[in-house]
Parts: sequence; structure tokens; C-alpha cells
Amino acid sequence: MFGGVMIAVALLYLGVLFAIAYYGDWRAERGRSLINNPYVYALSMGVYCTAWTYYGSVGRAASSGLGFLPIYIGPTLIAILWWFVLRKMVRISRVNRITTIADFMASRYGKSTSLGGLVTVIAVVGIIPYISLQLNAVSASFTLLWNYPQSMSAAAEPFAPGSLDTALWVTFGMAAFAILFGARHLDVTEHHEGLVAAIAFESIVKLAAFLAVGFFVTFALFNGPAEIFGLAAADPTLAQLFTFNAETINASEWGWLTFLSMLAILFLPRQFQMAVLENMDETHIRKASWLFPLYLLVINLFVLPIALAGLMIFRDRPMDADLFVLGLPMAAGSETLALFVFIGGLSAATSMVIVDTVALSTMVSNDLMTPLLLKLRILRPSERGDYGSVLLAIRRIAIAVIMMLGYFYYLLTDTSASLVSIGLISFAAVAQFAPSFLGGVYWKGGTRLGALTGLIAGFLVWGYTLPLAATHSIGGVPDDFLMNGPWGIGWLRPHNLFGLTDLDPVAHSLFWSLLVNAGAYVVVSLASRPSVLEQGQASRFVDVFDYSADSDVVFLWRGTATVESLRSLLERFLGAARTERELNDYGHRHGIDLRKTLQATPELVQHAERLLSGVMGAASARVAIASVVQEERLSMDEVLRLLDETSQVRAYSRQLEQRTQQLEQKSRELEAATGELRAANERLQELDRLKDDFISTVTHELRTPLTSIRAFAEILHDNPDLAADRRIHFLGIVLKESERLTRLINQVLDLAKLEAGAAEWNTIEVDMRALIGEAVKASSGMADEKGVQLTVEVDDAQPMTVWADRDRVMQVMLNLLSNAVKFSPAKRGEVHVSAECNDGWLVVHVADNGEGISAEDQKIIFDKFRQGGDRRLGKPQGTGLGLPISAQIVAHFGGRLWVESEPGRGATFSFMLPLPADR
Amino acid sequence: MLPNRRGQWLIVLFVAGCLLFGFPLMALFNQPQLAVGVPITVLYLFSIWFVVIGLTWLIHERRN
Repeated sequence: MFGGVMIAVALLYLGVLFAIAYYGDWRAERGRSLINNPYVYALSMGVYCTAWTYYGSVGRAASSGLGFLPIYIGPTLIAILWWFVLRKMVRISRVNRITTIADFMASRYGKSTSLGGLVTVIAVVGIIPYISLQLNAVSASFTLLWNYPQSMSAAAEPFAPGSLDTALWVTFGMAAFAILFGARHLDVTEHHEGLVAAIAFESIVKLAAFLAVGFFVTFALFNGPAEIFGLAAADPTLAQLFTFNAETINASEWGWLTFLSMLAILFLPRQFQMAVLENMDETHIRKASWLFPLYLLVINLFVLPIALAGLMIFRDRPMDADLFVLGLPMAAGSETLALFVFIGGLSAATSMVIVDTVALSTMVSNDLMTPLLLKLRILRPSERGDYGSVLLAIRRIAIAVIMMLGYFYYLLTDTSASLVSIGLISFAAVAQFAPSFLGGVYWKGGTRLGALTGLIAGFLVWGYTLPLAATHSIGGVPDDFLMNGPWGIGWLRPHNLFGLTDLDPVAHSLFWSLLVNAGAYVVVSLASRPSVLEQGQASRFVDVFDYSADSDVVFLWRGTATVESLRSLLERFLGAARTERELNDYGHRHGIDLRKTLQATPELVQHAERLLSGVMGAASARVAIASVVQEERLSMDEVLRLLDETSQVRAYSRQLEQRTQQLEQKSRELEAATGELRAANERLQELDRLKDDFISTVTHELRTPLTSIRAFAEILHDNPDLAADRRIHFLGIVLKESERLTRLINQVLDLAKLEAGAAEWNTIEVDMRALIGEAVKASSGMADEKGVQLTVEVDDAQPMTVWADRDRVMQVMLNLLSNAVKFSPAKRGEVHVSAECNDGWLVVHVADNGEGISAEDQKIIFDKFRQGGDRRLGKPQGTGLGLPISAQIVAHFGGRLWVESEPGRGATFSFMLPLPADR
Repeated sequence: MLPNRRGQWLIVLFVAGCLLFGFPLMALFNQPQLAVGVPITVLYLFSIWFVVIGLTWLIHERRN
């Protein structure tokens, strides 16, 4: 009757797991993730604690004392470094859409199908002892509970853990459950949310059950831990379990096991699945790196008390120490607790079996079978067909095969071997991943060939030293093989290779296998040349934190494919709906309408490959993609360019690039500023030069009249008896020169004022007709004197009134007139003044018939102190300031002063002033 | 705690943990006697374990 209840409760429990998983998936589909928090993440890592921990730790403690602990100390220590190591693994996997640890390795070493396959084989073979451990524990606990209460009577048969039949049924049951649960459907999403939720729940159940039995034994059967330890201390055989000694565990074994479990927590396929692939958020690692060790600590608190209590209670009854956890409540008659403990053990075993079979079957389908089928042309992606169901079928078969292999291992090896000793064989197997995995993540020099060689060498040594030797108890290998080595060759003894005798079998195997593994990996890597793809992947893995976004991908591939062929390929593996969604998303992001595009860009091909990777692994995806695209070989130049981009320089070059961009920006700004400064400087220099010119010219111009004044004054002073007419003549010159000096100084001051804008302007309405007449009249004396004929022609038709300063405009007129007179030939000179109204402007022309002004001179006559004509011809006839001043005045009233002339034909100076708008 | 110091503290803690959980340091506590009713080795291992977890928590969770 009890057996019936037991089976009913077990089935109910498995049903609850299904419910949680479906609820988790249901929530995920609605975007309300159940598992997206660090606590669920840490709990899901509790999958580390299997039947090994649940039943096996107590068994181990009963024989080795503290020997059960290094398995949990190692993960605690490595968890401290998770923020570096695990976070990098998570980031790499996310960026590269990694699906399993085999996929990780294959992807790192150039998407190598051979490496992915090898890792799969090692993982499957390596985990088989571990699976058999779970079968062993579940069937043993099941048998023990099934036979209750007979199994508790002192007269019962010495208990053999689980009859073979039970184990076979348990295997079938677990396989069916794993297939139904782990391979419900082809999961094409990134996370298995339902699975994670169920595993986290199992972690709670097994912890609660173990703590329950711990409290029961410690505080109900005994009066607290002090009593248990006190009683044990009195018994020398039990007291020796408190210390490290030859009977329990020595320092070397302790150290090796700690080291081994550090590697196991990173590389066990189920840990990789939970900690790396199912990670939702890298920051969850922070909480997990203390929560998970805390979980381990708590679940181990009662191991030693239970072991000691079991040893004392079952002192004269046959009971396997691995079953103390269940046996103690049964012996005390607590059926309910026993049932709970059985369920706890079931949860520990099922969590391991589920996650490991999911991880391993995914490996088998993605990294072993699919590439194989693709290569053998059994699976042809270019043809129509539902490949999703093929993958699913492969996974289901893989689960069944893995479970059966576990069962056969259980049959073939010593069923009385302790659970922990079986589990450690698997630990040592996955530790083989360490050199090429860690090397691949931190060392770009590791090559595919190196990884292959290292893994094969390590795997062979492992197989020879651990599992092969483990089969001797059932006659797999003869005793002689172990004792004296094959064919009597002593240094080939599996537990004492090369005569190494100081290590226990696990440490011995670990030492030799890791030595040849790491050695071969490093040496062959250094001796071989990685392919272009390998180097690209190496860079993407090692420098993953430099490649932040998915879009930041180096295209080590170039080829052509049609959008249609990519679409149909994706549909076959992802389904039509998801393909449509993904391609639409892609089109949206890149602004392409893929319905109207024929040729796929390399980016789209790359994107399709990544999508496929998420379902079938990197290596398979590459093969599948290759089947529909025409790959082009990269030219040497392109390879070099890509290598250049992907080499380690890349990280620096990016920083450098940023720096350079900043610098360029700065330098551009600087350049602009410099340009302005240079222009300003040039302008200043020009002004400075002009000022110097001006001063030297002014000085020169002032000195000329001064010299002459002084010379004549000296003559008058030194010759008091000079003739009167000469004296008058000389005085006349002095006067004239003085006037000229005065005029010059006035003009210099005037110009300075004008240029500084400090001149006073008295703007009124000026009648230009009157003004011109007046100016001509004022100049007529000078003209007559020189014999120059002045004529005026002014348009009478309209009023000529402008807004201006009358005196200033008069100054301009007089200046132009005097210039014209001055440069007209004596006696036959003609100066013609005309004025007209034209288009809102009043234009005045003053034309002479002198020698005219050359084109070069026309450019300079409006500059200060510059005069036209040949300087060598005596002294200048003016100050050189008249025209510049006139130009300034005209400009002030919005007009313009210019000259038109042809050498030999006279010159015409003209100026224009705006007429008031209302006229 | 400065963010860039955090990583360095983690490494220090890892090294310290390896030393504390390893020999020869543990040999110092390898005595069969009981202290407060618990074997010295067990007391040492679990308290060091707890302290290491606590320090990991402190490094990760303490704000500056």
C-alpha cells in the first residue's frame, strides 16, 4: 500500500513540475518572465546539487569525513571570480547565439564541426557515469522505500542498492519524463523559461527536504549537533572523521578535488546551460556569486551530523551509507518525512537528468547529427521539408540513448561503488574542456588543431585511467590489468601511470589527462596556423567586451544568395511565422523591403546564419547556410584588411579612432580658429604696414615743405643784406610751403577723423545744381590762371537735391576740380563738369583732357599718399590725400567714387549719391 | 567601494579563499577536539566558508 502512495506522490510531483514549466513558458510568451531575476537564476544553478549531493555526500562523509566538502568549496571559490569568467562566457554566448558548450567550442575554433562533434562525444561519454549515478540513487531509494517496513527490520536481507529490474524501470521512467519534459517542442527561443522555473522549484524542494531530514535527525533523534559530535568523539572510529588523515582524506586529495570542482562548475553541460545560456541579465551574476555558494553551504550543514547519526544508529544493521538520508527517518518510523525525503531525492535526480539530457541532446542534434546529416546529404536544406521535426526526433532519440547508456554503465560497473566516486569520473571528464575552453576565451593563439589534439589526448588518458579501470569489478578488465598493467607493463597501470603512486585515482587521472591535454593544446596551437575564420572568431571571443552590439560584427565571409532561398531555409528550421517576423524586423531595422529585394546582402546572410545558430548551433548553421549561398573566396587583400580589423589592435584602434575623431574635431576647430587668427593677423600686419607706410609717408610729405621753408628761412636769416625782390620771392615760397603744410596737416587730421568715424556731419538738403555752380566758380580762378577751359552741363529737367553735408560735398567737388585742372595741359586744357539723375542716383562727372591714368594707377590713386604718374618727375603736385578723403565722404552718404580713363585720353572722375526715395 | 576596485577586491578574496581552504593553513586546525560542541575542523571550514560568502556579498552589493 505504501508503495502505491509513493508512486502516486512521485507522479503528482512530476505533474507539478510540468505545470510550473508550462506556466513559465506561458508567462514568457506574454513577456512577463518568471525567471528574470537573480534569485531564480541562483536557484537554477542549484542543479549542481544532484542525487550525489542529496544521498552521496552523507555516504562520502561516512567514510571520508570532510571528504565530501571540496566539491562545494571549489564552486564557492570560483564563484568569487564569476564576475569576470562567467560574465565573459555569458556575453560571448549571447553575442554568438551559442546553444551548447560544444557549440561554444566549435564556434570559437572557426565553427569547426569536427570540434563540436568531439566535444559532444566527450560530454556524452563523460556524463554517462553521472546519469548512472542518478539512476543508481533513485532506484536504490525507490527499492528501500518500496520494501518498507520490511527493509527496516533487523532481519532483513543485507540491502543491495536497487535490483536491476528496478533500475531498468527507473531508467525508462526517467527517459520518458526527460523526453516529455525536456524535448516537449523544438525550442527556438533563446531561453527555456519553463525549464528554468521548474529547476529553480526543484532546488527549493531538495533543499527543504534535506534540511527537514537534517533537523529531524539532529534535533528529534538527538539533542542537537553537540550531542551527535560528543557521542562520535567518544568513538575513535567516528572521531577520525573529524580530521584530515590517511583514513579519510589527505591534503593532496583535498586540493585536487577542490580544483576539479572549480572546473566542473564551469564546464558541466548542465551548469553551462543554466549559468550561461539561460542567463537573462549579466548583472544577475553579482547576486548569484554569493547566493549560490550560500545555497551550497546550507545544503551541506547537516551532512556530517546525518552521517555520524547514521553510523551510530545503523551500527548493527546493514545499511548503505549513501541511503542514510532516507534510512534514518524510515528507521524512526516517520513515513511522511521518508516520503518527503524520497521526493527531495527524486527532485535532485530529475533536475540533473532533465537539464543534462536537454543540454546533451541539443549537442547531439546540433553539433553531431545535423552537421553529419548535412555533410552526408541526408538532410538537404535546399529542399523542402519540415526539418524542425527532424531535429526534435533526433533530440528525443538522443535522450533515450543517453539514458540507456547510463543504465548500461550502471550494469557494467560496480553497483556498490559509492555515488561520489562515480560522479567524480564525470567531473574529470568535463574538466578536459578547461584548457581549450579557457584558452579559447583568454588566448587568441589557441587553434582548432590544438584544441582537437588536446581534447583527444586528455579524453583518452581519462578513459584509460578512470572508467576503463572502473569496469574491472564486473570483469571488464582483469585484476591483473590494474595490478601489473597491460601485458605486464608496469608503467601503464591505469591508476599508476609512469609509476606515479602518490595520488588517489581521481587526482592521478586528472593530473595526467590535464597535463597531456593542456600540453598538446598549447604546443600544437603554437605550431599550427589558424584559418582566417578562426582568427576572426578568436578575436570575437577574446575581445568580446569590445564588440558590444550584435551589429558590430566582422564579416569574415562574403557571398551571394537570394533573399528567397534564405527565406525558405529559415522557414524550414524556424517555421514560417517566426521567419516572417525576423525578416520583417531585419528589414525594418535596416530600412530594406525584403519582399522587393532579390539579392541578400552579406549582413543579411550573416543574420540568417545567427538565427539558425540559435536553433542548430554555429557549426551546423554554417553548413546549412553554405548549402544555399554561393560563397566567394576572399582575396588576399581583403583577408589582410579583415585580419587587420580583427586582430588585437582592434580594441586599441577603436579607442584610437575615437581619440582621433575627437582630436580631428578639435583640430578642425583649431584650424578654423587658426584660420581666423591668421586672417586677423594678416589684416593686422597689413594695417600695421599701412600705418607704417602712412607715418613714413606723412613724415616724408611733411618734411618736404618743412625742408623748403627751413632752407629759405636760413637763407633769409644768414643773408640780412639780400636784395629786396629776392627776399620777397623767398618769403613767398615760405608762405606757400607753410600753406601747403597747413593743408596737409588739416587733411591728415581730417582723414584720421573720417576713418575713426569721429568726423562731425551736418546733414541737410543740398541742392547740387547750386553747389556745382559754386564749385566751378571757385575753381575758375585756378583754371584761368593755367589757361584751362571749364565747361558745365547740368540736366535742368529735375531737381537735384540730396541729403548730405554741404561743406563735405563741396570739398569733394573742389578736390575733383582742382585735380582735373592740375592734370590738364596748360593753355589747351579742358575740364568738363556734368551732372545727371539716373535711376535714383545723382551722378556727377568731372572730365579732363590730360594724360590720363594707367590701369595700375587707377587701382592705387584712392589709397592714401598714392599719386598717379611718374614719381621721378619732380615733386608731387598734391598731398595724395584728396581722393581718399573724397572717397570716404561719398561712401559716408551711401555713394561711390570712381574713375574711368585711358592713357592719353584724359580721365573722368565720377561720384554718385542716392536721391531721396520719395522723389 | 570604487567600481574599479571591486574587481581587484574579488581577486584578493579569491586568492585568500584558496589559501584559507587549502593546506598548509588548514593543517593548523586539523585537531580532533571539539569547540562549542563541534569539531574544530568543521567549525573552521564552515565559518571560513560563511565569511568568504559574506565578503563576496559585501564586495558585490555594497554601494560605494
